[in-house]
Amino acid sequence: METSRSQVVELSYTLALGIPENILVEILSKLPVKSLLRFLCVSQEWHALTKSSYFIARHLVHHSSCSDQIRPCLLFLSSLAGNFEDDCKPRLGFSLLRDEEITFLGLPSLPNLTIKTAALKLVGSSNGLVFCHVIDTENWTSTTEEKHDIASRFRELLLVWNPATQQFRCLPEPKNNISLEQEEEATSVLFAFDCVHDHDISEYKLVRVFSHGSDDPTDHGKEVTTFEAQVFIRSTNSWRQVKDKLAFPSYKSCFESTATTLNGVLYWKVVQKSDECYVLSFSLHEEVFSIIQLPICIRYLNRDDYNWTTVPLYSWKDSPAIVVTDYSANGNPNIVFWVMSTNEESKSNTNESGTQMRTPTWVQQVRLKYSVLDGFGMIGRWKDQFLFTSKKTNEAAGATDDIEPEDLFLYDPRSDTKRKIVKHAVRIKFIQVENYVESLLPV
Amino acid sequence: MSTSTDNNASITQESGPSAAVQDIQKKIVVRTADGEVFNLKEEVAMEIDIIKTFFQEDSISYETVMPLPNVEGWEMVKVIEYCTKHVELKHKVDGYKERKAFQALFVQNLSTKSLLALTNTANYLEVKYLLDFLCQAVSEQIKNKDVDYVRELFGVENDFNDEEYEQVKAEAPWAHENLNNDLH
Repeated sequence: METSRSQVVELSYTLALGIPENILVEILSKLPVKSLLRFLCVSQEWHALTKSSYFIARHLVHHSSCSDQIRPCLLFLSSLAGNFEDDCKPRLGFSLLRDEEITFLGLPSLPNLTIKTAALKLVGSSNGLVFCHVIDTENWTSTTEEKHDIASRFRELLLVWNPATQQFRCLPEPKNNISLEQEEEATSVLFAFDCVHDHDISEYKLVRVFSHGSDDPTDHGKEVTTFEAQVFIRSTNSWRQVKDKLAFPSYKSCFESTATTLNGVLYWKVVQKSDECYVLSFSLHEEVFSIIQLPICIRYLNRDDYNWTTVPLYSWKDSPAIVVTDYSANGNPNIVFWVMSTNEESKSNTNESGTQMRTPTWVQQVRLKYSVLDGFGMIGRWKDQFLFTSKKTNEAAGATDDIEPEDLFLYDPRSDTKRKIVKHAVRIKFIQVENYVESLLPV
Repeated sequence: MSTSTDNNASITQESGPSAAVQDIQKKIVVRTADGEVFNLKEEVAMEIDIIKTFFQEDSISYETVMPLPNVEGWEMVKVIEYCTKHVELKHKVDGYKERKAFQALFVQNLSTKSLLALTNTANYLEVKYLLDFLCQAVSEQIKNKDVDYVRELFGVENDFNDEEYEQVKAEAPWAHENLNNDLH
């Protein structure tokens, strides 16, 4: 410990036992959130302390380093099967895995979302805040019957939630600055979420990316599709249009379920009419789009490639990675991770519309024998290991009502070992996963 | 009767290498608030930053007895116990389980109030890893306790009036429920 003796003497002392404040902070920052929310009733000083951003930051630092050890702390988008007797449809919500125990949490204000009537996407989790996008077709109140647009048929919610403090907030809806005709075509909405704590630990940014037909009135063949974005920042509490746009030529489709946010950059896969594939990205910090070129051997879409259309972009050691099934090596399929190198020297130039086009180096890393994982569905990654459920992931996640228990495994490719981390999660199915850490961050 | 049992290790009959190492190892002497005197092995004493700084900064001779007016005798015993184990485990490759077992025993017979006092001492003596461990141990012991217990433990006065207290409690009423109040 580097503190000098004079520093120890200068610290303020609190009452009878003479516990210096820095020690009190150390002890309290190791407590779980529920205990802290109770102890803020101890005194005015403790109340102020637990609300201070200094303390919130120390608490977060401690708990982040804790969950980094042997036992993962993960949040899963999941479904909970109903009881046979009630003939309930599976409920949608989240499961929290901590210390090898699973708890199912319903969504705040929407505890009864079911698979049949709602779509729920876990956009991301950062510093203890969870962001979800909900489309609820059952529990809506229509205000205008006349409009034909999709909005009146279901309720769409953007929810920020801190499961530990149980605070939540519905964000205001963004408005599209595009013509009504374009709006009807507007599809492929993607979201990304990240904490941008340069100055303030509780600041976060949310981005909504959407695509629509060309802005160019002469483009009747709809050759060019434009991607635009809007951002929401907590401190401003409002949406703002982003200046940069991406004009993508010869666009055929984009795969929303493949979108991943990594280090404040949103990545997603798209394909052109010629079946040539690209990865597009949007940086939350710089608010800039770019087009990323892929290595030749995975650049062209194979119609049977299940991985391309639905498997999300993964990450490996902090870089985006594309997962493909490789049949080349003596007929035995392998799962291969192509990892993008993010060094500064990767070539980039600007195309006619001013969008950055990058051609980074992609390296094949991690080969998993497909046979090892046969019968398992990969749903995510934790550190350098992979998370699997004991059933293949359903194409339409959660489509079945069966209540067979699911196991959750961690597979370590370096030692080729599987470790069961949840046994027989009865009635719970795991759909999507994010790292999670308990925190006091306000929503 | 002239043969005095000389405790000076350099005249010991054994001539094995371990004994030779032991002779050379210097001792540092400290005196706690209650007048107790402790002889610490140099390598253990150097784990305690306040002692290390005292002797090294001004090259004070090890003959000097360092006073520790803020430390009680029983606390010094516990600190020496922990630091000695820490030094021992430094040389072991995989001491994780042993460390965990030792830590469990270490706190076993200490009341939470004693743990808190020891935490204060570890802070004063500047032993970072002991301080971290003790803070964790205290938080483990208080995490399921109620507000009154915590006030009493830390000696904090309630400066909320009834209305204010109900207000702050209402910020998270569920946090006051389902406490596994273990008898302590």
